[in-house]
Amino acid sequence: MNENLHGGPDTVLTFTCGPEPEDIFSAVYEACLFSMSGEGAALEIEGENFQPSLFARYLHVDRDEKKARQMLEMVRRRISEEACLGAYRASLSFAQDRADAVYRFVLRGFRVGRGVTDRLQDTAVCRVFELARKAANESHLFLGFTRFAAWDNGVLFARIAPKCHVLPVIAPHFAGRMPGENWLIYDENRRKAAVHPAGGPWYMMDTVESGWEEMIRGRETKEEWDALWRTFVQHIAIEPRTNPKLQRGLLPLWYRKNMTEFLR
Amino acid sequence: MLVEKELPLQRKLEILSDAAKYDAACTSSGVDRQGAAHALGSAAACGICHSFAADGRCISLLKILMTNECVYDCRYCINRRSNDVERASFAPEEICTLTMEFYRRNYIEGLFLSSGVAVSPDATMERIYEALSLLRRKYGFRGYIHVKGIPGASPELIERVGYLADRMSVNLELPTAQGLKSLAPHKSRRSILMPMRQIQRGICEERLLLTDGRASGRIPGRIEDGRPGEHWNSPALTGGFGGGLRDSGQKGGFGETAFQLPSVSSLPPLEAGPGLRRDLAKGERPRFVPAGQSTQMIIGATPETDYQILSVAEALYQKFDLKRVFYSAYVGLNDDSLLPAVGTRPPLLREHRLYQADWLLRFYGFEAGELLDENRPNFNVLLDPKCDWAVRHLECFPVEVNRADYGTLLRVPGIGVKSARRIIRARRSACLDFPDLKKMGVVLKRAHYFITCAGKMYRPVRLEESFIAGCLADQNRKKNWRVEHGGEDYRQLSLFDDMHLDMVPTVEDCRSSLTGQL
Ligand code: SF4
Repeated sequence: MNENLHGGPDTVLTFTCGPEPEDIFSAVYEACLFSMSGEGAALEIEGENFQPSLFARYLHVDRDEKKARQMLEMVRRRISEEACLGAYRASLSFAQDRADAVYRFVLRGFRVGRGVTDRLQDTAVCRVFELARKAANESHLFLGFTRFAAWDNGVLFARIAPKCHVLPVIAPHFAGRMPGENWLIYDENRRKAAVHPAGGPWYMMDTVESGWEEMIRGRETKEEWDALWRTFVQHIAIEPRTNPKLQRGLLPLWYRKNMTEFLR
Repeated sequence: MLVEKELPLQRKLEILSDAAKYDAACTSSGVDRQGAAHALGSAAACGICHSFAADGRCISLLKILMTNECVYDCRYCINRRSNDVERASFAPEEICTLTMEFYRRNYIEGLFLSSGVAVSPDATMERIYEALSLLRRKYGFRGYIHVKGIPGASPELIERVGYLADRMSVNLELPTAQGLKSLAPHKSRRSILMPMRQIQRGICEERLLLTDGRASGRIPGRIEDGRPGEHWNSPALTGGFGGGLRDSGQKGGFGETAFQLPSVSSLPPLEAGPGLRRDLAKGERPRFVPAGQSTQMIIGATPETDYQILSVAEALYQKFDLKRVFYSAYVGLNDDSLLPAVGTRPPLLREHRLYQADWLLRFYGFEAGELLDENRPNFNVLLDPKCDWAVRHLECFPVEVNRADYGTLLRVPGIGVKSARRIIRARRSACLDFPDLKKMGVVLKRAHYFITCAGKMYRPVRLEESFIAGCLADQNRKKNWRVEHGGEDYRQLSLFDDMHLDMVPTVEDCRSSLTGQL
């Protein structure tokens, strides 16, 4: 690490990184290394809400999958399995401070050891678990709320728009459940897809390049199963118990955007 | 019997989902099963909710009747023989295609198959078996299957179906034998309890086989494993309410040795299909009702008290090892002198209170007799059952958060399973104060009347029954109104608000969610 990074007392060195777990753990790696000198650091995610401050110095960290993996491995070995899982899940959340939260949690963990996950009253700890819970809960919901439609060529296609990065959690679930099907799940917010060829392992694909959206739109058609499913959903409700507020509380409107039974 | 004209699939689905919807069970939990190559499907023990219907109930399974034709005449049922409704039946192949195609699109977690009694109980059960066998063997379906046991069907058929299903349920429908006799003249306590007992034995034998006979069926310990305590001589079973679980119309009641059922292992082995053969190849074998059994009681069709209903539920958990008892507020459908008038509001608040109390039995170590008794046989409209118990037992409070054991913390209104677990973990490293509790997500609104942190109360309160009950009732009033009249706060099974049991609605009996995670 470059010596001139260590500045005066009123400026904090802020490491900035991309939004995904690989980016975040690369930056946590650098920040941990830096803080071994005894100085504090902060982490921020680059993106729309990023507002540079006059009193901070910024250093961008590139994604480095090897470092990211090493970092997670270190958390697992030096703290615990639970800490590793918590930190990873927190990095999947959509909170602007998730990188910083993970960094603070990891630092605290290195100091305290495996007991750190019991310290739920400690802000550095409870924040990470709060974020981890959010990501885990949303992922769990998408196990149920994801809807596939069959293309003419038999490929099952699902479009989702989650707030947290749920693909790495839900793709293995569907790979186990539908090993013999060709399927893909497209996260339209992150422009990424999990692709699963029948009989093979699934992989993640970047779909930012042009042509992808058009390709999908050209294939989306109505099926007879859509209509049957809508029929079922409509008829399974008990009229004298109708309660749209309750329904909205359990299945907020934003989830319904890509759910067959709510599309017209 | 009506002549069956071929209806289009769409119309059949309308009729047979309409006819199935009054069954409250919607869960897909209780069993973990991995997927397998060339087969479709897996199962997750904690259950997965796929959608929510307009009434706010979770949709997890394709819940349909095989047929809504019925030779019986249960007075509360829309499908009863004497009703003039359009009848339809699914062919087994139709059920399979619907299930497979819905499942591939991730609409559902599996199938919930029930049926009216067409011709006879055996003929109906046979047809259900045919459909499930086709689905598991020919189609290789490995997803979740919940199936109804038809009262009166032969033990041998029940057993064969049990090897194809994950969960079975036989509905008790009415909490007392008299209620059943007057409203369901073709059924008896005995014809309902017999298959229930058979399924329980099958599951138990299987457990013994799996453990080489080392363990007995029940795991002791009343709170940690989410089961109520070992109180075998509950009044509901041994007499109590006009027979309780004993069929007063039958000789000999329903003792442990009343029936000799064929042993589960004495039946011919199954010819394995793609799904099951793979199990066998991996050293697995087909399992008997691995997700356990459940039942349902209709609430408000007959005059039983909450105490009677809850005692019956408790007895079912203890004596029949049920995984779940569901409560279904009666919806007035049939014009019948013995039933509430058509259009009577379903008693939703009462149903809600029963679910709350049921949770207290299963996860909080309460007993029915602590919550209600013969002198107070119905739940308090203003207070949830836990608050109600607490204000009547102020001598047990306040509880010191830094010292109280898990079971004691669970009895504090406002502290649920997760909060109690968090408290226990966090206090290992520090002495907790109120701001710490808040940071950990423990809600103090109700709890603060009942706890101290290092000897201090949150703010000074009078530990007086009427005062605290008044404060708590004020907090509850608005919500209770919404439960009864339909509003955002009311959540059928999740009970988020009342107990801070922040579990996903379908997560029932999911041990890992209670033990593993934070
Ligand atoms: S047996 Fe009774 S409850 Fe079942 S479908 Fe027939 S009439 Fe309805």
